[in-house]
Amino acid sequence: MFKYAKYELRGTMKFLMGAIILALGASTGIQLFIRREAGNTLRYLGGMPRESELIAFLVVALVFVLIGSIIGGMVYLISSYRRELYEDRGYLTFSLPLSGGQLLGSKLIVALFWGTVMGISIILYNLILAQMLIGYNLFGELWKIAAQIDNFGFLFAGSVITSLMESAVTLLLVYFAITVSRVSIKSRKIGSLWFILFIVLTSIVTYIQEFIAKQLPMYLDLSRMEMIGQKEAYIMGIESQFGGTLSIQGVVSIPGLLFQIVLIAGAFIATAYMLERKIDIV
Amino acid sequence: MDNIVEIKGLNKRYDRKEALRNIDLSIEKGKVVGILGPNGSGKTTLIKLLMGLLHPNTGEIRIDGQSPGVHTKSVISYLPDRNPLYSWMSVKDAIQMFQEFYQDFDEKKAEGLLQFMKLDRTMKVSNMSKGMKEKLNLALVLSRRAKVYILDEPIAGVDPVARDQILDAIIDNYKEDSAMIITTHLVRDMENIFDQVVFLGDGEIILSGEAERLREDRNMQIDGLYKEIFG
Repeated sequence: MFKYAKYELRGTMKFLMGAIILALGASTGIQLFIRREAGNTLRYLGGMPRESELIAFLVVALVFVLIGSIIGGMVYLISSYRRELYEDRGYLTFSLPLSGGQLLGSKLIVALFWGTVMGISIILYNLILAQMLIGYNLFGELWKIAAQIDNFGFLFAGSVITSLMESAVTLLLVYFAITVSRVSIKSRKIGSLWFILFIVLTSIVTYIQEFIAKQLPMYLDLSRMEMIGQKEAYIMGIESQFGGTLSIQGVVSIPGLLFQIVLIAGAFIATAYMLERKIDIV
Repeated sequence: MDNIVEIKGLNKRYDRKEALRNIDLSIEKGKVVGILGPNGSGKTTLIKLLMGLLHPNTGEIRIDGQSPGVHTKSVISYLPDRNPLYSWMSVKDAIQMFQEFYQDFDEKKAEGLLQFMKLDRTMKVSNMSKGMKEKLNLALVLSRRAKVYILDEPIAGVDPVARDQILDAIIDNYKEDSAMIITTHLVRDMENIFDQVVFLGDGEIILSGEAERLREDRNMQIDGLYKEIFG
């Protein structure tokens, strides 16, 4: 599996590295603008910088850059999967001695890898740049916040795992929808209907996940590493959150998480089966 | 008889169109088999079914004793009728990929074939002409010591010089303990290398047999027979 992932990584590297560089360039532009504005404000307010407003603007702008880059990267990776099923490159990919699971696993690992690399590089770059250009110690501020949270390690690990699982679910639903469209509809143009199928599937999955979380109110509070029930969850205001996601309070629904694991396994097996046994490379 | 490929009652339909009807075929080790027929006769469909790129509606395919899948892909060396190499690749990358995925890949042989085809390792696939891509793909395919070679229209759409180079490479690199399946509609250029021929028309086998025997029985070349059948 990793043999093919290596080639998938190399094939996607040029575009995605370009996207990261573009995002870092945009981040630099935003921070330079903020630095200039901070100077103006200093003059305007007679030595009282409106720091919090500028920091809020910086965070919002950078969240947009981050989300934009990750969406751009994911669209590219999804179209790369589609190209395997509709273009000549599929003749090479599907001639390699690889099972459907190995092929799908490689695509998934590489997509998750790029999502992680993009996220980490853009966040780290901006934290370092903010310190250098604006003199605002974002690292220090974040560290202070982290130090105040109980069991921060568990919380951090929990948020990384749930983020990866949510990304895996989304990607697998996309791959599943594209593969089903390819198997059932031969025309490439009509095959674009995969997106509608994906939206429908996502809605169903979200509904089921929320339903399960509500029917079986068992939650894990990562900050205390304790299970909590419906009453406590209600008090904390997390009862209505989606089943598999981590709430801002660091609480996750256990049945929702289990449903997500089953969903990942099911979508993976079904898509891998179709890739191996049902896809016709025409 | 030591059959490396066995096909029984094979049918393939695209929506309502029947691409292949009730195909039965056995191919022995050591034979070069020509699948001959005009465009749209089902040659490429048959090849893609053997490769596992298509899946049959009914019927059975056994290659090296197994149904098309991971194992059969590891023992078949396949040249498709188009360039399958990823556009970002260089010749070096393509060789490295084949070396990593196929245990039977012979790098020395690849080096010799690249020299013969006048291809440089640093060349990028995206910068190559159609003929160069065809030669690179053939060099990769023939550099394997595979049990079955499947070449789909290996000389279609290339100039006469490249055509001769490709034919020479096929003849020089053919192994007696392997089977080779070649589809073509350019019968005159290739008929001398075939041990067995299968005439495919409208998805059905119209005629098949030993090439030499057919020449003697019909008192004409395979090319003449092709024209008689499909003319």
